[in-house]
Amino acid sequence: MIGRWKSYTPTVRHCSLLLVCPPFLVWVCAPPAVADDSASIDGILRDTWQRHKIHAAPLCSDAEYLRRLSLDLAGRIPTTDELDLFVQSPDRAAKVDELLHSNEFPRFWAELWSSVLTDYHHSRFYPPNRLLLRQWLAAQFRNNRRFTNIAADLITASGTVDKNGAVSFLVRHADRYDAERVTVRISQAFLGIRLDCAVCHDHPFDRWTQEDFRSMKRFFEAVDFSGSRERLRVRDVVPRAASRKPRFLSGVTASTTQWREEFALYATNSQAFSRNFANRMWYLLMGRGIVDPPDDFSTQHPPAVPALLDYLSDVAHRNRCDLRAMIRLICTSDAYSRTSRRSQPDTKAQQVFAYRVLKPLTAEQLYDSIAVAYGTTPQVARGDFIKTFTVRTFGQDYTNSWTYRELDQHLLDKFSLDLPSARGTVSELFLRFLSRQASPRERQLCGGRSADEIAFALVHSNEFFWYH
Amino acid sequence: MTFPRRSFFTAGLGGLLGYAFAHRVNPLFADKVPDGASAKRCLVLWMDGGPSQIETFDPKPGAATGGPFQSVDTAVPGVQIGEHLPAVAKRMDRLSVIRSVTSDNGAHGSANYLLHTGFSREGGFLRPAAGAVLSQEAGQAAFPNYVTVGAQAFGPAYMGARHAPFSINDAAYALGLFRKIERRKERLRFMRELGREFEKEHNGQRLSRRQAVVEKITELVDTPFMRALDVGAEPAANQSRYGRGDFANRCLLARRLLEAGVTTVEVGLTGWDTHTNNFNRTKALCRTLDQPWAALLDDLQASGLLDETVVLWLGEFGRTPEINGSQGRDHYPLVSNVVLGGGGIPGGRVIGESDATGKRILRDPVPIPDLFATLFSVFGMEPDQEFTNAFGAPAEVTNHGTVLKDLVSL
Repeated sequence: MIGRWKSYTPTVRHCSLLLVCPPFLVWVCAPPAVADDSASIDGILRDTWQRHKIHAAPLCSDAEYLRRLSLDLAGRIPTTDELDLFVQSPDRAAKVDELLHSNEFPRFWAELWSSVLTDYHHSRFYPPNRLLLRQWLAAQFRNNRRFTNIAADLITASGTVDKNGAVSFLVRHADRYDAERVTVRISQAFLGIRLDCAVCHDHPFDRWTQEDFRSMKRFFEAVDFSGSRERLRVRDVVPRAASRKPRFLSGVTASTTQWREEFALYATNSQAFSRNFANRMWYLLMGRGIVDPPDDFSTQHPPAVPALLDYLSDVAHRNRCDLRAMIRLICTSDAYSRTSRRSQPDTKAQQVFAYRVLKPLTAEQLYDSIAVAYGTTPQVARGDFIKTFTVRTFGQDYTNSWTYRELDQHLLDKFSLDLPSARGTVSELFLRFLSRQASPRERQLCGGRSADEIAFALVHSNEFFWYH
Repeated sequence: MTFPRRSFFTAGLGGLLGYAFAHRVNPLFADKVPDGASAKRCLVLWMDGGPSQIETFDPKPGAATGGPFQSVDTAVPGVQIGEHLPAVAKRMDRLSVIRSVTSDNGAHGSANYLLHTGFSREGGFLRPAAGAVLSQEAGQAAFPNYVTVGAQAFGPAYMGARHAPFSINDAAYALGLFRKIERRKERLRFMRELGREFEKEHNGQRLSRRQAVVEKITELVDTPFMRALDVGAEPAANQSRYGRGDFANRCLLARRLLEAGVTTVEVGLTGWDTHTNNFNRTKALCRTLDQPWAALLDDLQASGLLDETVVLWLGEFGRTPEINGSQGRDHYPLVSNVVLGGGGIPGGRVIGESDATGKRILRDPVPIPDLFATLFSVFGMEPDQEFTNAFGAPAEVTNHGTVLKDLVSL
């Protein structure tokens, strides 16, 4: 399966399918090339701010930038050595590339995406093989496979759960399998369209009707699960003469018996797909979508900066959703580097990215950052730590990674964690935990306190928990 | 007695996006509150797996489907229940039975959801558990308002994380956490002091919700809530009235939590999925259930709390009257029993009736939404009371349920 899509090019048969899709969802021809330089992230945002008379926040310091970037690309805060090196020669573009080619990048992004795709749901009967899915995703990210191909593989994956990591995306829904839920999930993750409402009635705000939904979910009605828990097999059993054929949102109906393959083809070639990819990458890196929430492109949530969304989805469409290229583009922009400091909250300014949004660390980022700060891992095992702070978050949807989810109990658990013992001066501790020097006031407050006490206060602080 | 209207919270939950904002759409219900709505708390005894109605509250001695057990007289003349609940039988004047609860949902997961929320699960649109609704109704509290003890916890959905269940499996462990926090209280104070600069620079941004939780937790230490967790402090005589074992301890904890002011406590008893060996297993389960439940009723009555505490006994569904080849009973959502009492609900009543075999309901079938409408009514809520869901659309608190007047009217 993996090999089959590796050099993905639409076949002649597929191309003819594309031609019958109405243009609103599919670009048949390449869009016009972007000509002038004002079409850049920062150019577009500058225009927007001017029009709205918004003053953008200044850029953050090099140390703050490195902390932000390390958390985004490696899933952990920087070490003091990394901090020293970067502050001496703060080449941001080079650092982005270095991190993109590190081993930590594919590993962390695989974790981030596996929570988006399968959340932390635990099924007694058909557990998805999360480890294999993460390994599979990490391999895709390491080889910088285009996101269109990654998505197509996940949607069409067949085989057994112990051999093919990609099938776990569907296996997540194997327990009382329901084409409905899968369709909702896929639309949410890959098209940014919420169809939940259309499950029971026509979407209250949008043009999706219940009939649209019923026709689209048929693409997944042929999915069949067989075999044991550990070796669950995913395949399609398409009825020879289906009375009613699946129909994509664009209006095109299935013309072969490979329904999921057809769906993947329509989906990944649609405008909705590149727009969603662009918006989600922006969301993952910036903390807030241009369309926000990022899984809800609808008349109710228009893009905050339409030109920016157009520009980014255009880039995404042209390079077939090249993950690294998109990360490079966003992370080297000034927009990415604005400070989060603003004493008076200003929703409008934040919506148009004039200052930085705070992002809560995921459980994975938190664990790895604690390990960096203390120089050793906490007593609790990583898997148990992550489980404590995810599984108990009832019925939560992890599609949106930066939703704040801490419950009373999570904080109780965190504050009573047994942490490693800390050593070092106040300066060293602040550098290791917060990537900055202590202020005179902080120094004074820390006077006479043990390194353990200071470390406790720093590791549980808002400044540690939110990346800013 | 009328139910005090609570103030609505609106601020400080920005980080939760749409999920956080659950506020009532129409606050004009105050004059529609049914008379006699006096409930303020709810104790749920959740029989996980689906309790057999025939071995508990709808015995059929002598019938081919009735199994080997007899029935016993209760404190209410003419009402009999299963012989292995003798202590509960003596207290049936405080409880009423619905013998005609019915649904078509016979799968554990979705029936569990249905009997916790009153709605079938539809797509990704989650409904809040009744405990979260009641927590929201009770308003601001210094401690968790919805606590589950050894039970699967259902989410708050659009009621927001503030109303998520605080789930305790082991009181001693939970108490240990609090004690640890208590010892670290000074460190936490220092942490907050040290963090002031960052918080000032990000005033009003997403971290405000976390600040609120941090504050709440540090304040939970050394409160009635924390002390309620210390079941070991209970006099030995009381402990022996509840009996031994996890379930007994959990009931005792539940009583302490209700006394401390928690709105909803759900206690779970697992093992009711008796596809095999139904009779030995239900007998043992009834014995596990009987004494602690009776002790709970006695204690709540003695402290006067029973007048404002609804006691609700239920599970996913009933079980088949036919006995299968493994001496078991399978899932049977068509006829289930639910028991309610306290909180102003009169005791000693029987709603509905099943036929001699237990296979069909003869009169007054009670669909699940009606059960929830009735429950909410004693808290002063109307079945069509509306909240705002995650999509910004109004969501009614029950699925078009109607209140069972026969059960709640005085």
